[in-house]
Amino acid sequence: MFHIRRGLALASPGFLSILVLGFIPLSVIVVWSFWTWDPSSYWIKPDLSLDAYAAIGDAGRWKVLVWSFGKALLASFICLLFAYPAALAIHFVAGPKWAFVLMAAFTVPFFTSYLIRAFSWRLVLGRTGLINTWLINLGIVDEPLDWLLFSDFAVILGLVASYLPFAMFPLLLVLRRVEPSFLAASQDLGAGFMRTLFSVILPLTKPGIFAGFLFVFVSAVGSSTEVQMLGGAGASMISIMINDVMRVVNFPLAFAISSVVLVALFSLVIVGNAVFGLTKLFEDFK
Amino acid sequence: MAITIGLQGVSRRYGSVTALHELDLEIKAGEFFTLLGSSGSGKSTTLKIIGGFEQPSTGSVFFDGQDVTRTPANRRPCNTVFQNLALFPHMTVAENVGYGLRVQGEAKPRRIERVNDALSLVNLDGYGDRGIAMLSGGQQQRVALARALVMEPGILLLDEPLTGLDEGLRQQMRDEFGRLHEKTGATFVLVTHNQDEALTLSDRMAIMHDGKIEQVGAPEDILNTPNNEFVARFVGLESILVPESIKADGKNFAVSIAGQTYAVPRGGLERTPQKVAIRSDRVRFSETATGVSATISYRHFRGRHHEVGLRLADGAEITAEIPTESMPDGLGIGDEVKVDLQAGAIILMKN
Repeated sequence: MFHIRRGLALASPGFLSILVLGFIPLSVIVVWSFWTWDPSSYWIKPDLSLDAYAAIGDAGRWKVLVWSFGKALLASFICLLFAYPAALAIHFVAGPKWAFVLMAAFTVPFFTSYLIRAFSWRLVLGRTGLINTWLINLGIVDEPLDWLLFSDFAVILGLVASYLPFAMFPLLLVLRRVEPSFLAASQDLGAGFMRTLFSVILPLTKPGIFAGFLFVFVSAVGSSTEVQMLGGAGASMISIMINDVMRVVNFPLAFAISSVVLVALFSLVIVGNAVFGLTKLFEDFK
Repeated sequence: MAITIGLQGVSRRYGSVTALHELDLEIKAGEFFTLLGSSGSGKSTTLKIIGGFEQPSTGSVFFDGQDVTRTPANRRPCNTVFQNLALFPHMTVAENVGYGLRVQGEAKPRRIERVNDALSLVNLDGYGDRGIAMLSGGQQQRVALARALVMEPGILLLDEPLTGLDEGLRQQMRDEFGRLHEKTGATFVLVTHNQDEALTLSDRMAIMHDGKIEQVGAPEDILNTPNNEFVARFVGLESILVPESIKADGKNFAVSIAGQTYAVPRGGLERTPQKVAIRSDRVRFSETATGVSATISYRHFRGRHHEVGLRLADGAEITAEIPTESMPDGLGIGDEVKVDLQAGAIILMKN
């Protein structure tokens, strides 16, 4: 009994801070999303109305929602596609020294501001940027390529570059479940590499794949800088849209959009956990 | 089905470290062969080279006379029971055992049949649907055995499979290996550091030390004529001494120890040996006043026997295992006694 009480006492600051810092603001957001906003006076009234939710359907707002989720989805898949082989290499091929160097290579870009990181892509992708200069110098194209910058391509590239490490670390964590002897055993039983990859490595790393996906997806859905810096004219993202709505003090609409996103992400986590067994990721730590 | 294994001039270097010096070895088809040695002796490296998990730096590996040195592990007709078993945690028992057959493309009905046969071979009928984590250590061992044996390999490699089991299970699994060896008729190669395992199971064994083979032979031959001091100590002959004299005498050697002369059969030895080992279970206190004079230097109770340290008259130290019922009362450290070296107590060493 004593141990349980002491354990609770030690854990309570953690629980309390999650409660105070996380759940209370979230509940305020959800509650206010049912209030009403008067466009003539910018006045917000406590209410129980779905007006704010109805307004999401106006002015192409739902399109921004769908496009944001779409871009985040694409960015997450590309991140996983890059991060998975890299994580395999770090885990199975690289020695401790090289593993450190490779992980550092993934992390160092994070030492600069995310603004600078996004902006630096302008210098690479712009009409007079690195890539266009090379392409012209090498004679591959005559005119600079316009679609490289201020385009969906640039946005996806920026998102992938920003959030790739978020996909890496859960994968590296989950790869510890794949003991090298499993690979030897699979080979011993006649399997080639691809067979081992699909029958042993991928099934065992499912929770980490989903966790990596989730980290990138959630961050990308909430991103704004990459779109503002690299997106084309009129390109929007959920957070930019919310920002615009907040400027006219339409809190209920802003909170309604946030609530929709919240519910979508929560469902994603719950479904993903059921399918991919997210909790297995932390089995070693029990 | 059983396959002959040949190693010719096989060596393995890691950078500047030589894990395995050039070695030649022939393991006969259907034999139970053991590689016995302490850690770092090169026994596991040898096994990995046979299995195809390591490439030899020099030399060639032959299966039934065919060079398989460059054949990858997944195309070799041998299967392995790994030291940590390496059972796939995301598969059931049946899925683990059927994995190799699925890779081979065996049709499902036949696969299920063969998996069930393999499971009943290791006495795990009806365990197919269980998860791996729900099994005891001994059951996991059996699954690993079934997973390898279901492939009907010509060679079964066992990489210290009994390490980490408690003594009762060890005994049980040891018997199991013997039974399965007889039943399958495959060539079994066992790697172990446990001399009891090696002595009870092997048809022949190789004792390895520092990346070299010290001696190859049947367990009795190695016990009766160890090549050298290292081998003698490894098979449990701890008391090694230099006799006052050893002389060839017809079919025997006349061995003098602390004033007593014993006739020891030559057993095919040509050269006169320098050192002998004393089997501690063949040393007894003398009931008459004859025998080698000795002083007791220590005594430990070991349950069924007493382990007694004896300093012989010439200063050599030997150990005697005296059965508890024939241990005289009242003997203490420093007491003078006479001991008999019974027939077979003196073991001649080649070098």
